[in-house]
Amino acid sequence: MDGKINVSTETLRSQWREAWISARSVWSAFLMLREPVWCLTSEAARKEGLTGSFAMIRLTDHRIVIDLEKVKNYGVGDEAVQVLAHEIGHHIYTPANLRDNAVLLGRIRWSLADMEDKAAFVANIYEDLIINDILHRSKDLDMAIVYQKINKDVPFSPLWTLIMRTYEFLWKLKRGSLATDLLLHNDKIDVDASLMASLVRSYAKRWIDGGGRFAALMYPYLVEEEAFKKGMASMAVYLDTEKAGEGGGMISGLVELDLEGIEGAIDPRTEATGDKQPKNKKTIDISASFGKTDRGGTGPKQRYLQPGVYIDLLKQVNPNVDEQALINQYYREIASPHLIRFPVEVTKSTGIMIPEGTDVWESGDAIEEIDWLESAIASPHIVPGYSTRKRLYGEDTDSDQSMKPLDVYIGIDCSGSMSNPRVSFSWPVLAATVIGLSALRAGAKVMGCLSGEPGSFMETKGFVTKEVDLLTILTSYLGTGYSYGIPRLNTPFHAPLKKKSHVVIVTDDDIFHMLNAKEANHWAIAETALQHAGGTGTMVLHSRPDWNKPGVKLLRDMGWHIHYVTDESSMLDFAREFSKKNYHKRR
Amino acid sequence: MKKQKELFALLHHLKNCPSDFLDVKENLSKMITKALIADLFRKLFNDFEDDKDLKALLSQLNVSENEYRAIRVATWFFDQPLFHDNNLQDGITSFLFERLPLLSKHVKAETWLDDEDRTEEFVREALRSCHVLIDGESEDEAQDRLDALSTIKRLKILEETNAPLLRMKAIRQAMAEKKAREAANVYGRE
Repeated sequence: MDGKINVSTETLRSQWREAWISARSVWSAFLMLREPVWCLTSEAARKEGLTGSFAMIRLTDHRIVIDLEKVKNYGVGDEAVQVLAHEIGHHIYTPANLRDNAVLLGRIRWSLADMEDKAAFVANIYEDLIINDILHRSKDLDMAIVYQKINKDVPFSPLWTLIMRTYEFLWKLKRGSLATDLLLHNDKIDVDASLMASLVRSYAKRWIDGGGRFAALMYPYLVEEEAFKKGMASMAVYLDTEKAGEGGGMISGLVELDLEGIEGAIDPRTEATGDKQPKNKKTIDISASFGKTDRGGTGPKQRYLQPGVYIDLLKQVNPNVDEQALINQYYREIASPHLIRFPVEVTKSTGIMIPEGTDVWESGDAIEEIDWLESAIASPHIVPGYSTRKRLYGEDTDSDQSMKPLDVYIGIDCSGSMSNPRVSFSWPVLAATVIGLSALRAGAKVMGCLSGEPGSFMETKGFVTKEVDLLTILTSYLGTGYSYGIPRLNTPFHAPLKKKSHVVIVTDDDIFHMLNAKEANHWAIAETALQHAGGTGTMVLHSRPDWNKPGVKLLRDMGWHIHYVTDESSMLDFAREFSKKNYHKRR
Repeated sequence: MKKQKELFALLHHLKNCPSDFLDVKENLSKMITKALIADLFRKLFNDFEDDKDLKALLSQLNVSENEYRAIRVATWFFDQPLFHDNNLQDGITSFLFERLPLLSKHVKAETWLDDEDRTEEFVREALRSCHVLIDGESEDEAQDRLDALSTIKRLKILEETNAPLLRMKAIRQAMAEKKAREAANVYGRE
């Protein structure tokens, strides 16, 4: 059959529907996967998000989309089983799910210094090689014929020649069987293709681990921007997973540095010639551009990616994802191991027993437990163990002590002297996140406020209970003014609160300029706010104890606790110790 | 398809080399290697006893442990009907005592069996030494395929191209680092 000329897309659809069953059984007879979305026209395929290629997968809803008009035009109507088995392979083998897709992209990015935006493209080619090799060599499908047919219509480039030569190596085909433009052949491509074929075979089962090496092999071809563009033109028709994660949900567990990924960012060319470079030095060089230093990454124990790198990676996985949601997720994940039960206030309560219906009274039960009225209602004839009823009681959910967490107000200095938490890791934001999320977890409400004054401020609408409301404020950035604005305390604490609240303000030495400002009596505001809050107040000062001693004394006299941090990382220690230090003694 | 079957039969035979050929105590390695070569030649070419050159080669055989191991793998490979041909004696001798020790400087003996490309390289190197072609393959095609697989050629090309590649990477990494530093400094501490 020449699908290119004679067959209508409707006929193709019924043929491909039949082939779908065979394609599934190539992987497993028990495979459960929904039938592809068959698009009779390219216009319909575009509406499904399929452009460029004639097939694609969506990891978000586990669907395959087929553009039958393009299938017809490329003349691959007879290769339905190969094409569909290939797409199934993407769903069940590589990348298989959103998380593995994201991890692979992360690993590939380590090898693409300054070209991380091409990671999805590289991942797609790598995954295709892995799947096609399995189908061709282990599942006895002739995958070469698909390439032979499509290659007739695609322009060749050095990059595409490399990929086709790799298939020739993998499947022991004659030179030119797939890489048909012999003018582009050279020794360098042959060597790279040979290494690539070995890599694909070696990492077929641990494909995530081979991503970095594969990207390193492709690197010089991508650098030649022109070659890359030509390569893209050649491969547009094959790119079926580039948008696989689009529209997917938030993926957790990617904030931490992927040490295996960094170690795997090795160029197989240097491995083949014997690694003359010290391993550690190479690792540092490759990863330096991602903010990793010889001491590690950023954040606690230097275990985490820079926020900007994290956002770039996740946006590559899912371009539609909200950046704010990503930055919230970033600090939430780093804070998670440090979350603790928030301190509680102990109050007395009374517990009572309340009736909770009836059950059968049996002969072994105490005689006084019989509820005669209920027994009579159940049956006029009293038969012990059958019609006798007893009343059941349940304890009131109130225990003799109920745990009542205090609310907390967190004010953060977001003036020009503070770093942007989206660009570089912010210890104050992490500390605030740890306190805020601990409080929410314990059932308290939290009010967050960023302030850079004179200038601007942002705050939650009073005390809130939603994580997202809080984190969205905490992870924002102002960069205005010189300090936290003391007048902000007036908003929640202008009058005594019905429910007590703790007050935490993270700032630096400039707070004393703010307190001494002549526009208003800021000292009085600070004192009144603390009284109205009803809890204790803590100023976390990025300062030294010997600075501004008179000001510190005044604050202490008002009841403020002063916690000095000389390096920002100790803010996390403060956040962890915060509740024990301030609340346990109030029990 | 016949051609492919022939190649695959040879690859299959080599890959089936028992591990006993590799796992020999080092103090017995030289003696067992010599014995295996002698056995092979006795089996393939009955009159090898008169071959003074081979006797001389055997008595002078003194190579590294990796080379002994590779030679033992080769004795397994040549032990098949295809090589029962007196005309191939020189080719096999040349492969065992000249070509294989040279290749073994770059390839570990077990890699000849574990890595598919190296397995094919071994087979093609052995066939080229014996001037034997795979069915259906021309001399040019065989040479092209061997060139594409050749470890020695690959190392030569990589040594030529790695230095400029590493320089290019270093430059791009430095640029990326600079860009990252600049981005961080925009909002850095005062």
